[in-house]
Amino acid sequence: MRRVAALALLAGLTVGGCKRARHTNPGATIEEQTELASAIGVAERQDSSQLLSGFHEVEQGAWRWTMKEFAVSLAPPPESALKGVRLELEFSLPQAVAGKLMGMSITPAVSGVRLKPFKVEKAGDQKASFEVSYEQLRGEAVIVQFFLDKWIAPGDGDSRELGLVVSRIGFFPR
Amino acid sequence: MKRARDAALWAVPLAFYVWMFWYGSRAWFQQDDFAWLGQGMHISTWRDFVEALLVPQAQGTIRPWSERLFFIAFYEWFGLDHRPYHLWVALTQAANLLLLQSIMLRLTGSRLAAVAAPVIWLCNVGLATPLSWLSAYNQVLCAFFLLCAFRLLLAERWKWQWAVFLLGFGALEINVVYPALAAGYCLLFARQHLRRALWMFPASGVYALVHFAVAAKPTEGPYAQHWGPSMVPTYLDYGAMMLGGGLVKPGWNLPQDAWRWVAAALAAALVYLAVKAWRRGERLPVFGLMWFSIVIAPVLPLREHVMDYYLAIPSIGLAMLLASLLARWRAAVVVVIGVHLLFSVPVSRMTTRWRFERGYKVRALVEGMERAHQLHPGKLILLSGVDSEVFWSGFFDRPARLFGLTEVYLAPGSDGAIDRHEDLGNVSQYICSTVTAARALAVGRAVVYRFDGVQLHNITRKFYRTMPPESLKMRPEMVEVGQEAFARDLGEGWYASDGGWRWMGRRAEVFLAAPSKAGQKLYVKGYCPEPWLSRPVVLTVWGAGRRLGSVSITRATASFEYTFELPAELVGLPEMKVALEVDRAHRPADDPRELGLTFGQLGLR
Repeated sequence: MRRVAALALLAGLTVGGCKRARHTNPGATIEEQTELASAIGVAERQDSSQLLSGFHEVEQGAWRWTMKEFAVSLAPPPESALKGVRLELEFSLPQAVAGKLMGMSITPAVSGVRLKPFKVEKAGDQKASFEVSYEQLRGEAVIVQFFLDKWIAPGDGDSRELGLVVSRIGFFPR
Repeated sequence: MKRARDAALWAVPLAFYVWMFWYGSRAWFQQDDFAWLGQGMHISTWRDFVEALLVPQAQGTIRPWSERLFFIAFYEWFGLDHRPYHLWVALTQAANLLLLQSIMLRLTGSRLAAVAAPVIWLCNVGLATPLSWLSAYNQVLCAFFLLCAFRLLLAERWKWQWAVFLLGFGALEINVVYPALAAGYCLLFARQHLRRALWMFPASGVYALVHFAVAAKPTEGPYAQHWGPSMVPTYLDYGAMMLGGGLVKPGWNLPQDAWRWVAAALAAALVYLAVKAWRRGERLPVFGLMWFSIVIAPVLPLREHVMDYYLAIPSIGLAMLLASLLARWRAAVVVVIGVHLLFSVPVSRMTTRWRFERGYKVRALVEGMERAHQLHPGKLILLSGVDSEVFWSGFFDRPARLFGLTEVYLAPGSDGAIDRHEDLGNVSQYICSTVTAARALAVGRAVVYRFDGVQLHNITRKFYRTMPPESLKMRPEMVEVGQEAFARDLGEGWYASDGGWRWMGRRAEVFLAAPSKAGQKLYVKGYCPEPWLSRPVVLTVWGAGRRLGSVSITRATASFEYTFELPAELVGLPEMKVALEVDRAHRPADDPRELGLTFGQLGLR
């Protein structure tokens, strides 16, 4: 009887010891490829494909001069569909050109719809914010254009058309 | 040499089994399997364990060995690895084959008949499902108890026979027929033991009484019992299916009902041969017929539920009959067996292959859901591309709850491919509404996958872009009160969410879609702490300004779910404001708020 009990116990322990931790099958799903970002650093290499027009070369690995009109494509963030988003443009107005460009208006257009302009009233680093309603954010990619009413024409000390020094553009939750 | 030959003869049916069920023995979990696999989730004490083993479930069945213990223990040890389960089924069936071989050797003395019987049995369509679908293990295990008890009867091991017979009740209700089988054998072969067999009838009688007392007695649907003359055609249908396979293999270019004509011809030949054998004093063919008739008898009242797997144990009788005849009229019986196998083997193989392939798809879906849950914890998972077959075999029984995923639904609009089977269940509760999906996707709380039969493909962004913009502005049919995605549907009277739940004050409002058809009801799910219910709290509900009713919440209903009839005139309104009011609110000592009730869900059903 003891032998039977011992054998039963051994069998139980053996089977009990068989329990293995379950691992999920990593090949069971195929996830979506990373598509467009909803916020980009204009000097970032991985974001450069989202710069559509109006940007000059990267300078000091952190920013780019723009022309009088420039455009990017951005993905609408998921939360945008409920209540819209805030479009932010991080830029700098260098002291050297502040005299010429102070008071300029930046007018963005999202999906072709122009937004309320932002007036630049100081030099240095700053951020312009614009409210964007969700109706303008349908689709996989949204084209965001910026129009400046003041700029430095080529030939005036620089062969390039110069608008703003931009570092970052993106959609952010309200 | 002789020993080696004998061993080889015992091995023939086993080898044939492996060949026949190569696919079936590797079929993944499907259908009811998931319900049985989930039994262990509710067990935390010994009392729970005993209840899980013995409390009647699914049509009032009590099958502690074959459905409860089998799935509870194996899931505990092996989880969703189907192979050990199938190995156990195969071991049980191997024992069945050896027992049948031993019985036939004992009854006929013919090695040929002894080898032929298990092989013929394996070819029967009745075994295809039990040996490929784990939920039908009860048939295999019940066959084991019946064959084992019968073999012990032949060996005149009476006490052991009784023990095995009684244990057999834990496998399947069909075990109740064993005294009739034993009595039939004794009548034909060993009348001196008839009294011993008759003594087992009271045990079956007691079991039958208990079973009828606890079993559900549906008056309609597949499990409704029809006692009367309709049992005769059902008996003949089972006989025909057993002999002719139940269908003609696609591609054979024969009329659809050709198998019935084959079955009729085979039945005529078998009756002729059995009568001829009887006249020569051979009783075993008649015992084979008796075995079939006795074992199939309990399922004859289920005329709307004629299933191939109910033939698993009765078809042992056919195997006995054919094998016993083989010993004498070899040429004629070889023709009969040949025609029988010609029709039944392809159907059996097709069935097991189908089970295997379906299990493959179900596995892909279930593993995909598990992986998606791991990658996106806490998110609602929506599925498209699930066809009707996979839905009913791998989604309907909610396999995802085995790994803690409860929020998984078909994506809106993806249910068109699902056949409706009202007797099985309501599909609509598995479909996410457009509003709920749009809301959840808009705040990044949901992911959408498309199932292609092999993998799940994340199509969240693509799916979201195709949703109509107005879906975000619509009112939902069901509000998850505690979730932020539904905060815009809450009117006055609510406090901040407590994660899944939200407290109301004395009065609160919710905005819902109006009912789309008459007969819809308002469903509310909520809770009130028991200590506050020294006397009942009365909840009154209004819909679009009309009083829908009041309920008293007591300690017995502290966690409550209620439904309220909705007037037909609300159908078609643009939206419906639901107002909730309690007759008294509570102000806890450690909380400045005045609290009425807390709610989890509120919506239309």
